[in-house]
Amino acid sequence: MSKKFFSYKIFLVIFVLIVLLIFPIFLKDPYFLDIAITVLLYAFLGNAWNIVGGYCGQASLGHAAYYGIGAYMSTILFLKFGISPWIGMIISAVIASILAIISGYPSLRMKGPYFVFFTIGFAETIRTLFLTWKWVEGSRGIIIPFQNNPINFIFFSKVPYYYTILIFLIFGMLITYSISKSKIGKYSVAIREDETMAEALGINTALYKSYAFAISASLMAIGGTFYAQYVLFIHPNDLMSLNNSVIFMLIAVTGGKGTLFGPLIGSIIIMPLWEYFRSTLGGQFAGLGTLFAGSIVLIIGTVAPGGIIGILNKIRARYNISSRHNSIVGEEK
Amino acid sequence: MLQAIVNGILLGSIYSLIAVGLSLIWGVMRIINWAHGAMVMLSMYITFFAYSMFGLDPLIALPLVAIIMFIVGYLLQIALIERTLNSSWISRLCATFGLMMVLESLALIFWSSNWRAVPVTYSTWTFNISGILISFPRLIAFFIAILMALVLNFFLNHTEIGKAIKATAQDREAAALMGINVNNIYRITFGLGLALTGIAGASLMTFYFVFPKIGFPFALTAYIVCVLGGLGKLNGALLGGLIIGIAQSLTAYFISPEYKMPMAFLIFLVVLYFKPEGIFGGVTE
Amino acid sequence: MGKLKIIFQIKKVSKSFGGVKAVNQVSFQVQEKKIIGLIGPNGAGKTTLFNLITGFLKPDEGQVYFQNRDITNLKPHKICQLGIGRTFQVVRPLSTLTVLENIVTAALLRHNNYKEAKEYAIYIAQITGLTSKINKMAGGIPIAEKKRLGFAQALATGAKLLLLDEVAAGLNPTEVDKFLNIIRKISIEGLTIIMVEHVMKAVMSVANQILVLDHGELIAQGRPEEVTNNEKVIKAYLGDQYKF
Repeated sequence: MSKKFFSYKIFLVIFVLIVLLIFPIFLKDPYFLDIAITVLLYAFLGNAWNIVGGYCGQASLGHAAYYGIGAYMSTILFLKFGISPWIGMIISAVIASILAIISGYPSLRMKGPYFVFFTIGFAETIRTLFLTWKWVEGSRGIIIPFQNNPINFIFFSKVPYYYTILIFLIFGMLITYSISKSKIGKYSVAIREDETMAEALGINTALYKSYAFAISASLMAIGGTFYAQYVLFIHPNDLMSLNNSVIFMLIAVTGGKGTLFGPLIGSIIIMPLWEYFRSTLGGQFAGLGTLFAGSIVLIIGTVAPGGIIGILNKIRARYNISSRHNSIVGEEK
Repeated sequence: MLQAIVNGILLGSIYSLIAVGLSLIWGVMRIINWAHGAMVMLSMYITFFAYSMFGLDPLIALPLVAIIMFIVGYLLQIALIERTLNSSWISRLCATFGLMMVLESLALIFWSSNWRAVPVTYSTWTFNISGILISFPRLIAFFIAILMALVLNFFLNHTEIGKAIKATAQDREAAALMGINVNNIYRITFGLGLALTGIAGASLMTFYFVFPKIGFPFALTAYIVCVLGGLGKLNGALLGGLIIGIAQSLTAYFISPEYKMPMAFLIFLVVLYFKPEGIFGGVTE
Repeated sequence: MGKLKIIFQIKKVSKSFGGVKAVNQVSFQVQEKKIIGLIGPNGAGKTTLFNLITGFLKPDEGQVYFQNRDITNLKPHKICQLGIGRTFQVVRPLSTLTVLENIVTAALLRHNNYKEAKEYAIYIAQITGLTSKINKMAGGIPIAEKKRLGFAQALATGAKLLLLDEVAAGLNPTEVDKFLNIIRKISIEGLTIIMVEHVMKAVMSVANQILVLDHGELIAQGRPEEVTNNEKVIKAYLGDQYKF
């Protein structure tokens, strides 16, 4: 590791950070700001998924459930009990992590595809539950009345939302970073690589899977609260859909699952196009967004399992640019 | 209530048909085909177009659809699935799930989200046997499912290719050592699995309708059926389909139709918790 | 000899798979700091025995004791935490990590601090002769080195009892000697070792005691010289028609 190598990576990170920070100053158009916010939000959510799906290898396709629970919990606490969404957000994060541990318990023994079935079924059940639950307005959804009041996590312009989600993203990535360097992170990776071997090394796989799940779910819930406060309308089908769960996975996997910047890269690539197809074209052409996303998933599954970062690593290795030092990625299969 | 059970059996036979294909693919190649539901959707559309363009009755088009789907499966195996045989299960998930997304979105783009149905004359015929109403097309579908089960059984146990498939499912290395072209077997198996969805899809079109996302609930249930019966155990898929069909029917009757999926999921959970290998002890690896 | 404690004991342990008794009423004791060789023809049940001891399989009957504690029904990770480390016959390195990271993951069991774990891992790599490979990807090294890595990992978990499954297989004579020296060294430092080996020369030259398993049963135990002359053992390996 030469000094030169070190500074190029850090320089890149700082550059990206500066770009993200000054972005709204140059692009004030609400349409673009909206896309930017969406990109950052999904990067945040993808990062949350990545903790349990990328690092720990438990590819859950039911994470949208925690997203929705976060949104609903903070909203209910706000509208029915007058608790500020900022606080509601923390509460729902805690509840989501507890719920993740409880609901994750049956799935701890499940391997591979069984685990995925379980998470899908779990999320679908939660979604059905919320659809039929009268107290949370079920299939009508909940509208959050607009009042320009920062204390209640509602802003008039999009700019504060942008910076809020940016801070959340940085926070989320810092958590991922510190996990990756810690015992939890190393154990999670071992579990991902070979659960049997992990057990033989003294790793309580059930416990560490639960840790990863809990952290991941609480971040998801925070994202859910943000969404609720940004869009000001929540509905089970918008939040807790399988579609969403797949996008979370897709974003992390496209960028590179199990890497720190994977979700951000993935979100930057996928979300703008997705939003474009969905909101501008609409109707039958809504299918184009899924077609695009689906093709990417397909390609990643068949030829590029390491995502963009995986490809970059391969290029680096081929041209011998630097010795591999990032222990998190490695050769993917 | 007997009515509910009968309905359940008829419904379940469709699940069985779909699940058998899935179970076969898993048993031989250890891949969960997440695009299985989309394949059912595809076969239903093919059946629809066979009618709207050539005036073919679904049941007559059925063998044609099966053959088309077989070819589709064979080609897909070559083009896509083969690349993932040595990858992690997440990669395989991405490959087949991506395939599903692509198929559903293409269907949406080209055929829109409007429901399509084939207006066969007999779609509303019902028999009344001592107070129990039996829908004629569903009964036909039931018999087709049973017929397919018998044919499949014969094929796997008494033909060269069938036995080769069974051998590969048990031990792919041993099979290769015995001179079996494993790659080809995989292609045939995948084609076969999709052919079965073709049969299911064509049968469904005699009394159901199709739209791009119709595959998903069928697929989800099919997975549950496979787990229930034991992944890789075809008899299990057959029996499991009937069980789930009856359970769902009873749930719809006694509680509410909205809880059909949660009930199926509950059964799934119970099975996974107490007997993950399923009824017939399938392969869990 | 009487001063050494019994660190490990297995009493009448059996395991069947679908009617076939893979392990049949096996009982033996192991004193601490001893090196025990576990031999037997293929399919004798040696790896099954290891799996039973380390919690990956549950015995149909019998008990396993480690340091006077009943570990029969404990989970594998708990057994490792208590001080039993093992290798696998089919090597299982964590492929997308480097050799060093593999060992560090193991070392984290006793060293909560990543830095400490890394230092300890470097030390273990040194003992096991892997120092020159520590930055290589564990998935890309030759099998012999993967085996050594598994051995290093088991060591790094701070195990008091090591169960080694055919670590010497596939090594050339020089490598075998190096390996045996490591075994002798760690045994002196206080570790107890049970090693399954097919490389007879290896096991006979280093073991204090040999256990012979055949068709799931313990058919002989004793010092290496005693066992090699045991008729039952000879028959087990060579079949009935050979006589001495």
